[in-house]
Amino acid sequence: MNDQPRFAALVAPMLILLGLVYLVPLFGVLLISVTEPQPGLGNYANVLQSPAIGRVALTTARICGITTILSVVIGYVLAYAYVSASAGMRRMMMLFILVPLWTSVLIRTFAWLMILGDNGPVNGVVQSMGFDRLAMMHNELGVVIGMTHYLVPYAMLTILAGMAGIDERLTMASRGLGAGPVMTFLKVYFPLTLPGVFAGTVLVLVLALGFYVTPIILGGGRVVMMGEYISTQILLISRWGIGSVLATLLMLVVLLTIAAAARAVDLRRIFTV
Amino acid sequence: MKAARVEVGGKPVGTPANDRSGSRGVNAPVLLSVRNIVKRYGSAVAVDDICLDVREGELLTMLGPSGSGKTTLLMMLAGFVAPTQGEMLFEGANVAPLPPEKRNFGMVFQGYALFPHLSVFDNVAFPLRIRRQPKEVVREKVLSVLKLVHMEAYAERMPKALSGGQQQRVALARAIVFDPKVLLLDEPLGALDRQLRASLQDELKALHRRLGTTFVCVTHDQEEAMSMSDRVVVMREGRIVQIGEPAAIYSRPQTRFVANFLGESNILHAPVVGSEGGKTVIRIAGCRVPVGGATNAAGEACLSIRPEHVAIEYTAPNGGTDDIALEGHVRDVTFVGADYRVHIETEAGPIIARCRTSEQARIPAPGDQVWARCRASAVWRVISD
Ligand SMILES: Nc1ncnc2c1ncn2[C@@H]1O[C@H](COP(=O)(O)OP(=O)(O)OP(=O)(O)O)[C@@H](O)[C@H]1O
Ligand SMILES: [Mg+2]
Repeated sequence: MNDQPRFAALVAPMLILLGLVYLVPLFGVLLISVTEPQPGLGNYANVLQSPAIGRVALTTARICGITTILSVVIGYVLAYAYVSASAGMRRMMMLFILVPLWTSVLIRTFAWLMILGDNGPVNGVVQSMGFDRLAMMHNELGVVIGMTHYLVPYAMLTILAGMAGIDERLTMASRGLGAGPVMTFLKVYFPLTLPGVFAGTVLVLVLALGFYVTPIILGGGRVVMMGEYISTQILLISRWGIGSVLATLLMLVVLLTIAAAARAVDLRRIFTV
Repeated sequence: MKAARVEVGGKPVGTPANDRSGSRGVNAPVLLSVRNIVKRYGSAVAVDDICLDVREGELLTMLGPSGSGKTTLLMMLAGFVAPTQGEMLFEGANVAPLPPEKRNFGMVFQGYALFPHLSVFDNVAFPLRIRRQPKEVVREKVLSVLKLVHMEAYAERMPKALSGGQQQRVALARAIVFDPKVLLLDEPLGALDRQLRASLQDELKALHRRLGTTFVCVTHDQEEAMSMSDRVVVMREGRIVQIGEPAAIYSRPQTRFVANFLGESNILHAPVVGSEGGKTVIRIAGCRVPVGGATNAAGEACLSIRPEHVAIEYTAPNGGTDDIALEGHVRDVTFVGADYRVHIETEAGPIIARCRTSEQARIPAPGDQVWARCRASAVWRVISD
């Protein structure tokens, strides 16, 4: 605790840099949202009343919700498999987790386009079994698959950090006190992983809200999420006012999510332990 | 808290009326029987063909140096480590294939392993809730066992907010709350400072007496083993070297290792010159002395003499009697409170004498010519290993 002023001094250059390259432009966006095309809160009123924007917001919320749940569940299972695996197996697993993480999101999304496309391998198998083609592209399913694939490593690594710190004697103690493997998981192991799960959920949700490339490519224009909508407003039809209002609101949602998370659990504990 | 401590210090918690220790001892039935247990890790042998009978109600301590296989043996008893070979009988039934949760043994881990997400109360309630006991029963049992370990005031605390000694008490409460027939303890006092250890040793002993439960304890602290246990199992390199009551092991060690590991010992060598009445006769300082203990081979005998049995004389003792007197001179004197430790260089080798400070008319000084005297009955032959 006494070290806090010194830590503050250490991070000061970082804060200044962030302020210059981040907060100043952000403030610019905020300014545009109340000045373009005329000064006032007209843009905000328009946005809140527009049914089209309402639909986009709903789509965004739905996809982000589903994606976050899927990523965290899959990430949890992977992290659990990882901590239970042998050392050699662990190296393999980590490689398979990290390689996609290092690959450009664009490449990964196009790869999914191939896999999920009408003539892709998945549909090949489906058809060879005598079923109709599945529509997995240019719809929400495709977007959810692509985004989940991207976000699972983030969820897994965050949850893993928590799991790795759990003393194995705690699960042994639980067994010794009469709890079978299932009860031990439910009553001891799972509760101890919750801070990590929570941190992973927040991280994945925040990342999902800002997704842009994946929905464009896999959604093929039929699934419009907020990121794409904002970019269309600004880059294609030059409605800077509306675009920056939406950007501001998206930012606000992200901040509120983090703030709510901070209230629910001690974030400092999650990120320092 | 204060009142509770006084009670513990003042008189034992277990009053004679509920003291079931009477059923303990040599004649108590065997509760847990370890038969030819072996544990190998690859080519390394952690536990090497151990046979051990734990009697009902006793406090048995496994004592040995680091790496002697104590924890491994305890983990096999608890069911966390599967033996490579051998059987384990509990009340006559083989428990070796059972997982830990089916054995119903209480266990106190090294480092306590309290659940950090549960309060003291919930930690102690854990085994009861797992056994689906009704709420009121849980509450009543938890509070009474917390009272037993003097932690009733801390029921709502989280484990993180407890001192080491308090955590140890909670871990103990959690392990006994479901009335297990056997309580296994791995270095229960290992992480505590000396003073706390001493007081908790007494508490542990009192608790054992009061509950009448069988305790199997692991330690590498010989003082702890001797002061708490009904019987001590001395282990070395995966094997048992001696089993017995602490006083018996201390006064009649079978091997040189045991003589040195339990307390301090002077080891001397002397030629064997015969035997009489089941005792070896040795020649030392020109006298023929019959000594008890190992009787194996002729040749050279390895002898153990406890430092407290050695007295210091400043004049040559007039022969006769069955005392042994070794002439020598004092090399060094260390004051250790109640005792002086006197290093004497004698004709038969270096000897340490422990003399009560209060009984010394004259304090020996380095260079003094002295005679180290001890009774022949205090000389004990051990196997040199
Ligand atoms: N999981 C394991 N894998 C390989 N070897 C092991 C394992 N566990 C224990 N051993 C070995 O078995 C031997 C006995 O270990 P054990 O932990 O039982 O000793 P101990 O008597 O409890 O020692 P300490 O007093 O240091 O706790 C040691 O040589 C140790 O290296
Ligand atoms: Mg050990």
